[in-house]
Amino acid sequence: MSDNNKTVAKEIVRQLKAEKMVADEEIILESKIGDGTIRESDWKLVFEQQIRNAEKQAKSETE
Amino acid sequence: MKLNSLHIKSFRGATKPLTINFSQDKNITLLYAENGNGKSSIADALVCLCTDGAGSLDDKSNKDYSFLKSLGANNSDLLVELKTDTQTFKATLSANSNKIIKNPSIDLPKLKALRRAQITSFIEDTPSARYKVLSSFIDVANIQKSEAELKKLIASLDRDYGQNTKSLTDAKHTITDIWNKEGNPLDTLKDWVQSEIKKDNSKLTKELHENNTVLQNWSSLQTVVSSIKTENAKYGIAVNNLKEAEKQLKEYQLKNPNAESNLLSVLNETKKFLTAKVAIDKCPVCEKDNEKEHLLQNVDGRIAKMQELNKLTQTINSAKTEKDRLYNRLQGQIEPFNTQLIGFKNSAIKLSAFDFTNILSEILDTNTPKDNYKAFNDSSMQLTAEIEKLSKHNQSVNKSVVLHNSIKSNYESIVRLTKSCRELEKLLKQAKSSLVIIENTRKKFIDNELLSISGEIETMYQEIHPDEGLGNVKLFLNHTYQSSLNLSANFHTESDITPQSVYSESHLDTLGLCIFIALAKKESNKDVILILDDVVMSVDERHLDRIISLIHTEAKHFAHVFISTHYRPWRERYRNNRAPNTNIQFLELRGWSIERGITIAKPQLVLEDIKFYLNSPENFHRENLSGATGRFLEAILDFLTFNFQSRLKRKPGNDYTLSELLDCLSKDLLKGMKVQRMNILPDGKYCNNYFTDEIYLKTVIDEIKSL
Repeated sequence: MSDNNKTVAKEIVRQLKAEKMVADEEIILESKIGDGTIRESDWKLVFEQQIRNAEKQAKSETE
Repeated sequence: MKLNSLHIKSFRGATKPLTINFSQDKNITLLYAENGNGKSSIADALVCLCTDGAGSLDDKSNKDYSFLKSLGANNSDLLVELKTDTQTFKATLSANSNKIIKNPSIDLPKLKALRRAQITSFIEDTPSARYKVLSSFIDVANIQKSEAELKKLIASLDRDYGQNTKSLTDAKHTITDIWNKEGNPLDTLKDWVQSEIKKDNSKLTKELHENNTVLQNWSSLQTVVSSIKTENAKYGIAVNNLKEAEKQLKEYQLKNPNAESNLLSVLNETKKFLTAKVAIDKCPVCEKDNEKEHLLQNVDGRIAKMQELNKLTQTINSAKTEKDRLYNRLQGQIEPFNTQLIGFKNSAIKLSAFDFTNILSEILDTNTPKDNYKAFNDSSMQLTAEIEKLSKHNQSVNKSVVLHNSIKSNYESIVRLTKSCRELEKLLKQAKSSLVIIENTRKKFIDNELLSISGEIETMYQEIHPDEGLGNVKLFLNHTYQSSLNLSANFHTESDITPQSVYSESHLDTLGLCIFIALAKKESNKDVILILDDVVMSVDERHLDRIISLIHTEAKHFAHVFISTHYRPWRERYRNNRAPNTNIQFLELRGWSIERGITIAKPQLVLEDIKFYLNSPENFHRENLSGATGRFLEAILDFLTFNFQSRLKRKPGNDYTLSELLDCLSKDLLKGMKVQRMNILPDGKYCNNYFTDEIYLKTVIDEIKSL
């Protein structure tokens, strides 16, 4: 069972990163999704981080 | 992993120790025995050792481990020992028969066992029970937990976004309403709001504060004044009451000149004195002999005669007390009044726009309270009028301040909520898109897993039932319900039907077998021991051959395949070398008895018997050899006459004699019958298209017939 979760979690994180939904630097997201320990607040932090990153990048590109 | 040997002792039918030594170059073991001779005992021993199950005991309603031990054996006698090329595993029964103790207890060989009782259960089970069987392959509970948390976040963000949007709309409406009420000043609402929030409101706020202070002080002062007036009125009444009491006493004294109030006072004191004494024998005034009771009687009589005077005196005393009390209360309020009045004056004279300085000029903190009270009363009318003016003016100041504050706070809310809504929108978009990715990935994984299992099942099923219009077996999740696995298949012209409704029992049996092997294969990394315990019963000859072929094909995916059967045609396949035998160890059990236990008969593969008799002159035994070759020939002829549909009189047990089989061979068949000696390739397989020798059998058969 754990292998299933690990496999799917890996693929999920790969796609989330590819679609720029989460930051490329996220390293513990995969294990947290895989072992089911990620919480609502963790998800929020992950997305907020990515939004901040995107805004920073947009700003630096404009400058 | 390779199995070396299995040793069982005092385990179910093994009343005597039994050891099976496995062939090291063969990973299929076929165990044939009539019912009741110990096949399931051997399969169950492996199940008990390698899994949490108890084998066929699991099919019984009352699972009692004490039934695992042989008749008459003790718990401590039971032993199952499996030796592999890497390790030895042992199982024993606990002293109280409630569990099987394993040594080692971890890293046991992986084993999957299928019994006849279970074979169609997967197909006929409820979708949720079926899901449980496959859950280890498709269950992604942790991913679903993570998904649920993300859904919670989305719900919470949705809720916040909804609330903020509503608050934003309300704030916009409020500010628009104010603008409309103000008559739409400036060109646009935006311009007006900008100009309003730029205004300095501090002066107005200060004025409002000062006005409110004066009005509050006035209100407090009014409360005190009102209280003083009430107390003063009460005091006036008390003074009048005293005057009236004194007047009534005077009138009484004029009517009763002898009634002296002083005498009454003396008599009352005397009575008190006498009452306090225990005994008296003389009058304390004249010192004549007298008794206490007599004296008291005398005094009481005189007081009674002066009763009205007594009453009037008491009324005066009460009126005096009340007047004094009220006077004190009134005096107690004068000082606070004066303090509040001075406080009011100090706050009021700050309001230069009003005439308080002039009106309150007579009120000074150097005055006595009484003078200030008088001055206050004198200016009361003017003050009330000025306060009314102030109050009216203050309403308009208050309105301006409230309006400005409302515009400012609503504007700030709009700015804050607009930002918050934008952030929430971004977060929601991110979260919802991520949820889609997660859900799709999870579903795709499960679909792929099920597709892969379905594909395996389909391949196996088609190997057993080629061109029969059956198959296209699909396992799929019912997304309407959680943990619900459905099964569909084709049936001739119909597709996607539930097989259990239209498939025959034997087709369902083989479907169950294929599903089980496919699942076991999925779990096996060439390390699973597969046990098929008496799973084939009702298949015909052709299907039996295909099942055997399937098992041989799939055996390479398992550490070992252990088949037990009481199905005689299966035995005959191996005994007579009609089934592939390079990878199979054939074992046959003798009849069971309590004294003998489970025993293995000498292997009776006909070709091996023949080889044995021909190998050396010491083994040669004419009668045994002719018996073996006769049985072998009968088996070949039985196969040929069946497949070439030779004319043969039907017999109930299909036990045809050699002469019956030889006589039914047609001329054409006899003409074509031949044996080809094929070359063996380097990989051990026979070369189908190259042979070194060819013998036509007609001559041989004719010779046999003429014997």
